Amino acid sequence: MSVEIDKIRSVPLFAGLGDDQLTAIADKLELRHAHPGEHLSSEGGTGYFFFVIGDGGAECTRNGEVLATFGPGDFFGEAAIFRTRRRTATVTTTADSTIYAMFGADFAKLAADIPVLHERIDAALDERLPHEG
Amino acid sequence: MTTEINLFKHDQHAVAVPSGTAVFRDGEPGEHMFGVISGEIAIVKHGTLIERIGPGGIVGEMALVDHSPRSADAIAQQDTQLAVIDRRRFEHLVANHPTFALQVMSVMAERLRKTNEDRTGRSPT
Repeated sequence: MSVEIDKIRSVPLFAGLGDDQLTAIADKLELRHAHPGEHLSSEGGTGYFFFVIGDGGAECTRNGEVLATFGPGDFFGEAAIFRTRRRTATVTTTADSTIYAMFGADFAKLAADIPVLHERIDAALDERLPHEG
Repeated sequence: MTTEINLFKHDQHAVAVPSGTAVFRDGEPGEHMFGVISGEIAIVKHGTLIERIGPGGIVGEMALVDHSPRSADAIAQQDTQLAVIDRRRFEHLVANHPTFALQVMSVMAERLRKTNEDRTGRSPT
């Protein structure tokens, strides 16, 4: 079920982490293959998994508007796990893709154990989530 | 008769849902089904209680079968532990565990039968 750590060493979110930390992360990641057009996240729905793109790509939309395109090394799905409980955007694969998926509770535990990971996730959330007021 | 699915008793993808929390709401997109490990989930449609689902029961399977939005609210009636099964795992289970597919069909048949009974006031033949 787990992923080799060499596959995730180049992911910017995990940059600079030690082998022990990378191993702990890789152990909890599941390798998945997705065809173009698969919804990995559906806006408004429940979200229990966090995703990193290994190969391929995906488009992120909210209310039908394209917010971002994701490629290898990009991650998504963290908002529902850490803040919103619901998916804040729809993410759809645009190519045959390799995806690394992690169950949200496992990811939250790892982020609690690895402060730099938590800081990077927090920074991404501050940038990605709509600001109130 | 109520079909129990015990495949998820020791599931590694389990979440704790506090009493009163909505697992999902009518009309939402659905990407997961849930196996009740402990506790209880109430299925509520337009404010009417449709069903209570306890340990061994499943909820949310319809959205995975036909890609439709959720057809009712699912509310935890007590502190509840749920196994989370996403589409990928659901398809894997259906492909690799024929008894799982039959159990899901059995649950859906029970719910359809109950819906028909509620509509017509009698049991379908």
